[in-house]
Amino acid sequence: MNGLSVINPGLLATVQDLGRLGYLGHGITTGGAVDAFSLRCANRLLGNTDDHAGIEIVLAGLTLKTTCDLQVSLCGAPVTLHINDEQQPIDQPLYVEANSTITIGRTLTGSYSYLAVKGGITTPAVLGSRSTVIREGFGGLNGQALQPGDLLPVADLPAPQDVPKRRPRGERRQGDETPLHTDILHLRFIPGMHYDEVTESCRETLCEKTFSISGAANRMAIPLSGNPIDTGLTKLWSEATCLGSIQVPPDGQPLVLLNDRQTMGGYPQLGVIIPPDRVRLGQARAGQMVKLEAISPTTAEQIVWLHDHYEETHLKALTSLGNTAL
Amino acid sequence: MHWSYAGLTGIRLSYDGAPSSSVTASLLDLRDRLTKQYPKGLTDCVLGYRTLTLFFNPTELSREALLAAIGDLDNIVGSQQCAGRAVELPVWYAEESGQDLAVVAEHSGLSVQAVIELHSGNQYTAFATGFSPGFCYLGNISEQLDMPRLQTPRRAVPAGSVAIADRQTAVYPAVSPGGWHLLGRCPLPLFDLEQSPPGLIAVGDQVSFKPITRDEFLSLGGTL
Repeated sequence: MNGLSVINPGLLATVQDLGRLGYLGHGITTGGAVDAFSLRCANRLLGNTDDHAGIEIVLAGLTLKTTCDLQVSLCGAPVTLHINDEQQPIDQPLYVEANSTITIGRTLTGSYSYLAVKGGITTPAVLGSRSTVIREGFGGLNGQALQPGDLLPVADLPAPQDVPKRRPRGERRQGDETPLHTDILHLRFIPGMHYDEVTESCRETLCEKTFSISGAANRMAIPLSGNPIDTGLTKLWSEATCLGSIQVPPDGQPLVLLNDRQTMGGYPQLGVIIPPDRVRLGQARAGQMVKLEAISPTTAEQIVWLHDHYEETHLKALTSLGNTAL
Repeated sequence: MHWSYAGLTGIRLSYDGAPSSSVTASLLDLRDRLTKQYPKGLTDCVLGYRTLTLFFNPTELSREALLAAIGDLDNIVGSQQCAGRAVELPVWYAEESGQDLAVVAEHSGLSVQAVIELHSGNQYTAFATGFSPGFCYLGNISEQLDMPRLQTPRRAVPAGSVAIADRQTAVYPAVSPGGWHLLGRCPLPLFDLEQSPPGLIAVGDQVSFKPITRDEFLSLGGTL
């Protein structure tokens, strides 16, 4: 079996696709890439469809060895990428020979990057998805994060003989060097769920003060710390959680729920952050200042429509690049 | 009932009164009617104790159309009862398998045997499933067994643990942290990816517990 051999998994690396959809009613969370757009970009650069699984890399430190010739691409946080000690550009399809070492280095901004392989990572699908949910122990390779010594299978494709074995050399993406900490990240949300049950002053505190991202962020939730929010609500009946929900536990420090959230929760949920802002939050680092902003569903629809349109246009351009570049 | 946004692609219907078997039955009827009507448009339907959260694909189904299909919110909850399956779960109730039997007995002023009889002598409605795969919220247990959660949750509760908290009872499908009081262990797997659906209990099922011995627990596949 050929594929990618894990030398060093770094901080945390997992197999992810767009998630396990349609099982929330069974208590099974979606999982999936936190920054799905970046994974889709990486796939499109290789001519893959959006449902192919790649590797989600948290921050840095992943080192892999190829056991066969492969085509790869890396998108997402602006990490450094080395193939056999030679720096390579991200956001590009790359041809990598067998027995090459792929190293993902550090980044000054962003948290999640995505390594895609032509044909995709082919670990077994569980309930229609290859996404790893570590807490539940399924998806990916044995339901775990990548471990040293793992061999990740990739699609068995005919050797790309006609492909010129060039490795595009390039500069790092520009404009990503300034850490974002200095700017406030605005998180726009659609009020809902328990929003109408909390006091006016609770709603005001939620949107007036800034919060900072605490260091305990993970794929389940991003905890925000700041002035505590008193919802005045206790003993709620458990109900569905949403991707992007602003959940306020008794300590008053809000949590924004992400892909690996538990499907049910018993704490107040005051609204759902719109998808583009949720992804920006997911990519942000501990210490980043954020401010919540309630917007009307109509405004949210306009923002999301424009954002989706931009993403689709960008993805289409990458697809034509992916189909011709290698 | 009233509805609220659950993001741009979700609608949350919430019943204002207390949860009951009728509320669950009514929400299940609504869920089944809508999923039949919009097999592609509805992507996920999640029942809570007194909520139904509907997630939809906006390219297939609009919020307006979904709300219209839901109809008059005041007519959703009727007097129907859950018509779910009857599921009997074998439980080995003992100090060895249910560390909190004695504490619960003391709190309720009953003997350990009376606690076991009270817990196993009722049929419970599965109000909701979730939290973790295969976890089912069952209720309501006898008022006499109503106890708050542990002050400090246990770091690891064994898989199959049968537990109570407030007026609820549940079986922990897998080893996990837990703050509920433990009464015994069930040897059957609550969640199996090889099965369809993977969860043993579905919302609306009527669940009862049957006391078994340690030997029966082991012969049914339970592990210590």
